[in-house]
Amino acid sequence: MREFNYILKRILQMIPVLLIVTVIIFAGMRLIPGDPAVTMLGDHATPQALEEMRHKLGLDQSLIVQYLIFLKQVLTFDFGNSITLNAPVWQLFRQKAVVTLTLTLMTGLATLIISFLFGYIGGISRSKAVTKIIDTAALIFISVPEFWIGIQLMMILGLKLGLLPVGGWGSTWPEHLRSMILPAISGCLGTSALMIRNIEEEILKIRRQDYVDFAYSKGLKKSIVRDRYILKNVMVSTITLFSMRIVHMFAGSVVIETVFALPGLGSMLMQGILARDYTLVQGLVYIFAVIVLVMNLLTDISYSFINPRIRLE
Amino acid sequence: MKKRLFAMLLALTMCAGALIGCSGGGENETTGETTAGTTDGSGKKVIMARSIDSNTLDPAMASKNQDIWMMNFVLEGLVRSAEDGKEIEAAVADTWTISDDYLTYTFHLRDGVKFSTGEEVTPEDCVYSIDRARNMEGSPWSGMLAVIQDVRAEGEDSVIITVSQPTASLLSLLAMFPCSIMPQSYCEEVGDEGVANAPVGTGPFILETWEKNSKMVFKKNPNYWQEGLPTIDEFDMMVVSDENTRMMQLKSGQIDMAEAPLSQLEELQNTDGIVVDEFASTSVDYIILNCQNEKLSDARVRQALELATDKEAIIKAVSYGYGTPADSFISPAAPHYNTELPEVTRDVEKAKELLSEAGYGDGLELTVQIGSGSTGNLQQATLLKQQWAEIGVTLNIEQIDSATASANWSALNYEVYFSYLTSDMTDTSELAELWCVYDSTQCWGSGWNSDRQKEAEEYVKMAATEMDEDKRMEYYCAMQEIVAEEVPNIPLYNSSFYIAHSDKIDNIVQTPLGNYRFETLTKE
Repeated sequence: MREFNYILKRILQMIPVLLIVTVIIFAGMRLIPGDPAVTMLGDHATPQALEEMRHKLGLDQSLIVQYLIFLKQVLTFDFGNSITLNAPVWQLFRQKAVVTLTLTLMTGLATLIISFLFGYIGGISRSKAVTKIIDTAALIFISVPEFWIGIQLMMILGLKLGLLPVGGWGSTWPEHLRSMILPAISGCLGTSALMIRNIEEEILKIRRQDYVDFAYSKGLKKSIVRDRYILKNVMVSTITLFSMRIVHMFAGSVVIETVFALPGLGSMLMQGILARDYTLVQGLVYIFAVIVLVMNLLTDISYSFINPRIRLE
Repeated sequence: MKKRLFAMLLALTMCAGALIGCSGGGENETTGETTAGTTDGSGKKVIMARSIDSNTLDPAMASKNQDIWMMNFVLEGLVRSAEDGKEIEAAVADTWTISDDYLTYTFHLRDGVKFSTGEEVTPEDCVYSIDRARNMEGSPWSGMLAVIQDVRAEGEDSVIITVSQPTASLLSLLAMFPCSIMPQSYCEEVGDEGVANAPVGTGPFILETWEKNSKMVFKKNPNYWQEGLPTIDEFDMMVVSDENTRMMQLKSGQIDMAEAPLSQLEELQNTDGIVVDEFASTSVDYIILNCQNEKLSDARVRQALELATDKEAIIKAVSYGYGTPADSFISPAAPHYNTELPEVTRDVEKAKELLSEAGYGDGLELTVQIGSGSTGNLQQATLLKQQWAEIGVTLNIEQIDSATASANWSALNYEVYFSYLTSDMTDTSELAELWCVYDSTQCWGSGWNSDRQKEAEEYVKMAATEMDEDKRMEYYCAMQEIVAEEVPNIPLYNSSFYIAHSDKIDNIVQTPLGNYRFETLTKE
């Protein structure tokens, strides 16, 4: 019962937050100058055509009326049609979200593998040379922009060696996954580099702790000490860093999507903003806001399942 | 903290699962009926990539090049423009007669011409399609189509179009995409949105699927009236906005053809297995000057600015040397281009003189608004800043986002603006009206409105109703002279269209109006 009350309370708390979000999105789009009718009709627009188009889009109504229409869309979870793409916002979102989610998951996976592998080697190794090499490489990847890495990878692995497709998304799932390899690698290197340095430092710190010395003196095997005592403790801070980057990847994938010609959410949102596609941007940003709130709620709820010491209140 | 992460991941995976689940269902809905076509497609497939997706394929609403150029895949009018972009040729109608008073046009429909759905084209479909374009709310073309007084069907195979006064451009107008012939039953069934996403017509291809911002898949139209065409079975138009990626895809063989960026033309021409085709274009790039701005209202100031502009230098920097200096807003590739216009060569001294005559001997400060992110426009603005500084004009460069810039421009709330235009029809009347008839478009955003402008407007109106081609030529030449003297715009350069493709592809056609004509395209 206590859990139920907690969840109900959290859901009720979401309502005012989402209301404020609608106001911010609506005002934000209207405050930037520019007119969807002008961007739609382009250079050939006659004043009369512009007026008719504004009427067709409902832009000749007062702002209050326009906002109420948006609010109604939000409540019914039907965001209407995108002005420029002539399709329901919800349908467009679903189409593009597959691409962005696949990209985020694969990038996340690649980040975990690379950073733990090299961070662990770099931290545990007693050879100065190995640590130096890993540190330097990490420093390079922190400073190099991801689009540049992407272009280089495409040139070498795609064009010269012909191993992987040069951008694009393909039409079947095996093709989708194959085409995601290069974007995932280019997207993960920057984050991995950050995490490698973090893991290394943590390992060095933990290695000097008393309980590690104690474990060794108990006569435990090297590998057991490393797995149970060092690595487990490194996880804590690394994973906080990682969880912040995952959200960043989901929202900030515009560059990778553009370089690799992936039809994802990032590039669609960007285009919507540039074309002043009010309905598309309003709908997408609102959906993003809901996702973030729901994710947070789910995270908090699942806490109590994972760790029984935590109570939901 | 560890738990928190685990929980986050769990939540993310759940969301992912839910979304992928949703979309799986959605995809099946839209492509389910067509998968059969893809699997038996052992035939020839050609893939092209371009930088930007279309907004709409509704012929009555198409307004951007990325919409307009795609029109001829699926749609055709009663007549259509020839490959040279100047002549008219038969399409849905095979013959037509014009009455002696030039007021009644009778079109005879081609025997057995069918839509891609297999239905025969009826005169009623033609009447419906043209009327739809004339009455479409918010259409940028309905104004031009207002010259058509009436469209009616006669008998089994004739369409009669009447105009209120002799209209020299009527055939050109009918060859333009807004007058494309579509089946009435289909259009009424799917509504305007359905037409915008999947138009049906008599063209060489059928639009099978369109994933927005990603790709369009066209299949051969088995009912196409030109026997044996198209020669390929499938054409995919991909959107790859990054030009480096596009070119790498071409070189790696992932795609067969691509819109080629000027910056990479030279390298492409020297790449084995890649051919670059150049197509004459009606496109002209120019600087538009706000004639209603106090500082620019004197024609002498505008003339001075043109004299101070080094067009060659701009071509070299902005379009990598591809292009020729322009002297008229009408391209040499368009009909009625005035070949006798005096060449404007850079003359700083004369420009200074004109400026001081106009009362700006001490200098002048102007602002150009350009869309941020366009390196070409920024380069052009920077060059102009240097060039105009020599006559004492300070050009401030203001980078704002392009939607804002174009909104300011259409509200005459600017001083200097960069733009370009490609003609959409085989006649000059469209561009001439844009640039000289004040009421319809405020002289295309320059606000040019003076006695000389009225004179030019008069010539344009005379040319519109004059049926003698020689006389029309005379009027349009006189009009171009006036515009060249008055300088509401500074024409910069004429450029071509470029398509890079693998050497296995041949017979690509792009008309000077920009339309892709890929029915004759061949692949080895």
